[in-house]
Amino acid sequence: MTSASQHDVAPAAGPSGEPVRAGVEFHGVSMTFPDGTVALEHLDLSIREGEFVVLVGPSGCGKSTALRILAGLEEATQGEVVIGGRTVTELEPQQRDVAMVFQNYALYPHKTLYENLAYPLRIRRIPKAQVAQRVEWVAELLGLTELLGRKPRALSGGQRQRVAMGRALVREPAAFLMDEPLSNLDAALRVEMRAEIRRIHDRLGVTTVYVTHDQVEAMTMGDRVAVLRDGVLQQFDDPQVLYHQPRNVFVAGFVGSPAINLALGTVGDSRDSVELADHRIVLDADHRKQLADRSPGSPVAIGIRPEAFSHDRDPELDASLNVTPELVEKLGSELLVHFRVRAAPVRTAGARAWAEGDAETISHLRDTDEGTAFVARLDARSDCRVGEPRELFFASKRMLLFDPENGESLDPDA
Amino acid sequence: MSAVTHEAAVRRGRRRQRQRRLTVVRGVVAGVMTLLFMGPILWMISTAFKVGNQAFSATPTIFFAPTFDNFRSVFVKSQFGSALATSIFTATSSTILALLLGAGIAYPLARRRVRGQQHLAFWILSLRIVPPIVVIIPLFLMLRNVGLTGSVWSLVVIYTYMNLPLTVWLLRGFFADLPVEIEEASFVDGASRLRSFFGITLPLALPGVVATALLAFIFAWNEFLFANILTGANTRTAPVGLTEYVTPVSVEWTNIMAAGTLVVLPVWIGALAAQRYLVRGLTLGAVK
Ligand SMILES: Nc1ncnc2c1ncn2[C@@H]1O[C@H](COP(=O)(O)OP(=O)(O)OP(=O)(O)O)[C@@H](O)[C@H]1O
Ligand SMILES: [Mg+2]
Repeated sequence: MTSASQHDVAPAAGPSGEPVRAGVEFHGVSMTFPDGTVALEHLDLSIREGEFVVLVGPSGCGKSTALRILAGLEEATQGEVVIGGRTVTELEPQQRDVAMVFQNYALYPHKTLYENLAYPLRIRRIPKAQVAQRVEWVAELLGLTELLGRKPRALSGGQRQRVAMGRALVREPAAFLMDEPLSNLDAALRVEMRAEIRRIHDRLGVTTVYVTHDQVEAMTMGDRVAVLRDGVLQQFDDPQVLYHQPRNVFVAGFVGSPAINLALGTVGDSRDSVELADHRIVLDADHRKQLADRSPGSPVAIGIRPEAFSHDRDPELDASLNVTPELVEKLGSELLVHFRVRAAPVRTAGARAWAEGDAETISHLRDTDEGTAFVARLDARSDCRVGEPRELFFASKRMLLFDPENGESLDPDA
Repeated sequence: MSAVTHEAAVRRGRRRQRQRRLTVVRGVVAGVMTLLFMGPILWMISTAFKVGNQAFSATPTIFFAPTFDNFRSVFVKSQFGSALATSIFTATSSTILALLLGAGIAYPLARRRVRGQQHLAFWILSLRIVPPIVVIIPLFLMLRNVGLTGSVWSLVVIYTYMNLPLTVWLLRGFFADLPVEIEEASFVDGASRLRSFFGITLPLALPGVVATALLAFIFAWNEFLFANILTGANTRTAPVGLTEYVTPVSVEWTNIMAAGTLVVLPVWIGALAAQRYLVRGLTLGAVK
């Protein structure tokens, strides 16, 4: 959509007549459920006005809880919540001026589509003509115009999902809260809706907190992404930063698909290199600094992204591994080559925790005594074959180094 | 090849035959059951339209010229109409009260963790376990103290009280079955709790509410013991009114049958009207 079309949008106004926009803040929010489950631990998050922020993390990490606390549906055991400069911690959901898309749609089954979309406006006693105008605008936007007379049960999953979106979009709240709004759609529709939501956000410019457990969705949609694990915020940053400078092995593993390869190496004698699976990898100045406090011969966790590997010799690619492919997947545009390196796997808490329940990111090989499973993402032209030894090249500066004990990145900038 | 297809055709034919036989058996069983349950009611209704000696003939007359004399006598001579009116008033108002109070108790029980919730089932069962006759004397004394004996209000109070456990129990189930998110969506959309309850929750629970209402109504409608003891001559309910036809001199069977038909009629109409809700409602609560 071009910027010119922004004028088509029926301008929603706040009580004062001025368009209302606002940022969202969590200040030390903790949540312990009555049964003792700790869902959030001291969450600090500052979301700028108009920003699209994605909360991402594995199942049960507290994403929905954070959103529900924001909406006022759950009362945090500790901390403050601010929406649009207004502390709303004590306010009821009705008073918070947020719109929420629920994971399971939560449409009103006894109302028609039109009534579903009009409901939030009717409650605000907005004049009928204006309601109609607004509903028609949203229906048009989401391609629901033909269906306005139907009831939810006569809609497909994708259509229901769009109605749920529409019910939020129909008013211009201080913030949109979306809890896995695309989880029930098929892959094609999901990709389409992803772009659609992002486009709508860019048009309306309303602060949006978007929850998903899909890292691709998080990376492609978010201005910034907050990674949660077991109720603890791991990192909150630009997707590119999460990818290139993850703060710990968990974030490193969660971001990127296939997931990053992790294995234990040893610090070289003069701290200017690391040993990985009988290969000596000479480090650049940056990485040397990261090893400054490490004693020679001590273990260090090494991360190499699958896409860092290449089958071509190249002066840029100053390091290499000799590997024997055990499985080669041809994906058309690229090859996924699975092999094992003679090194111990990283076993800190958080390493591989991302992979639980997400089959796509788990390596097809298992870590064994033979070594740790790695995967390389190569150009489709490469002629890797199962069982034929190869040398794979990569740039040592793309390596990530982590503390082998606690999984924290050794990069001080991360 | 053709032998095989022939064999298959024969097998298919046999299966169809077996199915047909099964259908017949099922039909017969269903018919017998229906007759068994409906028989007395049909008999009552037909007798209501007969004159005295038709009703007492050794071989039941099936074809006869119907007469409305019994109904006339029931309405004009014994003022059964006023008993019906009393019944309609007590049953309806106690049902409405039990529903309102029951919904008020059931909704929080369904939505919040309430301490002692696990005792609810026992409370409800205990009220059903104790035979009503046990409490009738204390109740009578209490109602006399507040001056309610002989008034229809005593029945309204008692029926409400006796129906409350049932309505709480059933409604709690129906409310609990509704996804919480639908209400939460309504809150976030800006609707107050009250508005959400009447605009979203109640309409969605309507099948359950109708089913509950019908059960409560039937109980109050049919109740005899309390009605017999607590009402005066002017405040008889229909079931009590029926007993008037049993006199020391005779039993007026045709009048009993006519009055009985009138008693069955409203419940029957109500059940028919609510049938759509009833079937859905009763399974709705049963699934979870
Ligand atoms: N009402 C509750 N009572 C007790 N524990 C709860 C309750 N709601 C959530 N939890 C727990 O809190 C933790 C966080 O739950 P939450 O629903 O926020 O996870 P999530 O990140 O949204 O997961 P998912 O991706 O599966 O939706 C989980 O361990 C969950 O079991
Ligand atoms: Mg969730």
